[in-house]
Amino acid sequence: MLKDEPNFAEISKTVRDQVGLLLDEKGLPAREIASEDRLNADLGLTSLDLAVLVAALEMKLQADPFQELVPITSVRTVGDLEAAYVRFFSKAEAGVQDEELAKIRRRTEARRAGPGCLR
Amino acid sequence: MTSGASRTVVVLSGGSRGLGKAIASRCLSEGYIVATYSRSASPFVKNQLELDPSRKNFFWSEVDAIDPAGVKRFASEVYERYGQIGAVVNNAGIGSEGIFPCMRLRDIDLCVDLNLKGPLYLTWVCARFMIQRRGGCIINISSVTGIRGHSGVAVYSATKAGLDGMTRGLARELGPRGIRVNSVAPGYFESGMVDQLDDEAKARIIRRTPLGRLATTDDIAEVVLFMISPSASFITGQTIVVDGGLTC
Repeated sequence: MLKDEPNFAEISKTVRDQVGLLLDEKGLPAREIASEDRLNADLGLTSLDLAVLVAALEMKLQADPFQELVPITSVRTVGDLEAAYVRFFSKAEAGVQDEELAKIRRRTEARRAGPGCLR
Repeated sequence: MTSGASRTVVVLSGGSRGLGKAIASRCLSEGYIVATYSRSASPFVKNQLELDPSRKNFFWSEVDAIDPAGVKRFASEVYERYGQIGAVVNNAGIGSEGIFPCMRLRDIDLCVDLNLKGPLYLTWVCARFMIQRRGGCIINISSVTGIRGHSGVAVYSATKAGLDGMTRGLARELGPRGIRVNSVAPGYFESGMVDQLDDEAKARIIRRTPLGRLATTDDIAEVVLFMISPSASFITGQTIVVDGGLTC
């Protein structure tokens, strides 16, 4: 667990370490993890793996940005994941970010309202 | 069961009296560590805390099951203290009886909160620990009223059927992480809820039960114990009915 509020480098390292551990646990080959890596398409992680990551990162960083701040459905890449934690620890840009969050939520809701979803 | 760090920690809601007390007692006697919470300490809880001042085997906190922050604090404390959560038993609940159109809305809310939202909160927080450990089991104490229609218990039935839905959904979702999720559905058993029935109603239930009696809390606790144990390691997503054949 990190003692103080982490900076970007610490967040990024923690996120990538945890992704690496998960890949290792799944028996996937070790690789350098980049910000633009897509969790599913590039790294082969499932939505349950993402839940494992979020749970592990909550213990490491003492933060869960997905309860209020960021919709989990908006996370596609390692960079998205890092950004969510950066945002959690950043108070300064809250106003701008709230607008972005509202846009993401609108897009998500529109997708959910589309055909084929369970009711 | 083994001793030391590998002993399974069973997190149990409402382990102070009734069925919860029976489950806690049987788990303790089988060597499990029991961590439980309730709104107040019963004589059983006080006795266990006195017998085990170092909390090696038994841990209890005063928590309101419908307070998600309190439930999360409790589970986190258990995890920090024992290093794992191996099993969750969602036992806490209340009965709710009455002809539905005449029920008070606050009684509907209370029943849904305690019987459905409470288990969802506890499972949510514990699942976050369990998925990292790649193993564990979750047991929801549902009811035969969630399976068969019974007049006068529509709200209670709805919450218990909801638990069974959660059982099946989570069994699929968490199975890939080695977590089993099952329901144990008691019929009528000797408890405070059944005490409210008059003698004639109890006699009618017994007449309709092939095994000719009400269940005891130990009948139910034994099944919970089995479902927690490695003997049930290939059972998930099921509702195990323990009703002496009432619904067969």
